[in-house]
Amino acid sequence: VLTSLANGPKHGYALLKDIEDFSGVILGPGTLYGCIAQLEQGGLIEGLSEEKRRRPFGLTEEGHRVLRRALQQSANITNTGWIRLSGAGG
Amino acid sequence: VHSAWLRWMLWLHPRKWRKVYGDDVSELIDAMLEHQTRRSQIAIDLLGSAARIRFRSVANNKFAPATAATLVVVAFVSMSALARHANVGDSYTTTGTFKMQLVAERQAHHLDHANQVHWRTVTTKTHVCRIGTEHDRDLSPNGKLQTSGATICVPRN
Repeated sequence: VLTSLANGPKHGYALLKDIEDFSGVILGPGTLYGCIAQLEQGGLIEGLSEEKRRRPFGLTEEGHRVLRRALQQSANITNTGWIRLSGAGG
Repeated sequence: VHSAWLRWMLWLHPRKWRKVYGDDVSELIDAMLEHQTRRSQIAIDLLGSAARIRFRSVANNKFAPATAATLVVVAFVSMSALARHANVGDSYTTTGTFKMQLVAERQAHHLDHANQVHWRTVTTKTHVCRIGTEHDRDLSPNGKLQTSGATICVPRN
């Protein structure tokens, strides 16, 4: 959800489709809003003013920071994996 | 929401949660149905999310540890009381000549006031057992006769 919101605010259905496009994960409405509720409670995202009955959500400053840190950790793991695989003759 | 029972499934979520996200979820369900998402798929997801959110709210409750501890104590005390009063089906061993599973046909309590002796007889298909002996003369602190002592079983003719 944080990655999906990294390029700007989105409402529920746009989030769902975007996540499906870049990760292949198909979320249901309850799962998505369960996740949104936790992220909002943690101060990582915020609900913005409604547009056509749809409320978009956007990243907060803290959300940006947490996403950057998570992506950096993820990149480190990925790089280490690739280096070790190539060293093992792969 | 188009479907009444999908709307009902939203009601399974906590009221506070519905107040904040209910309209958003309804809007999303409508959009998903317009894009041919199967109703059953949405229903299963809503059931799962309601269970998860409710479980999380119970787990995060500040009284949860105290409630859990109380339940454990109540369960332990109840099981102990049941075990103490369970007669039928218990396994009794005598001096080693035989061991049997009691399936009582009848039980009787006997009390000799004069000698403060209390015992019980349990009759099974094969044996008559006397539970409690003269050792029962000892009074427990609460004044009740104790049913300690050896169990003596004799085969029925």
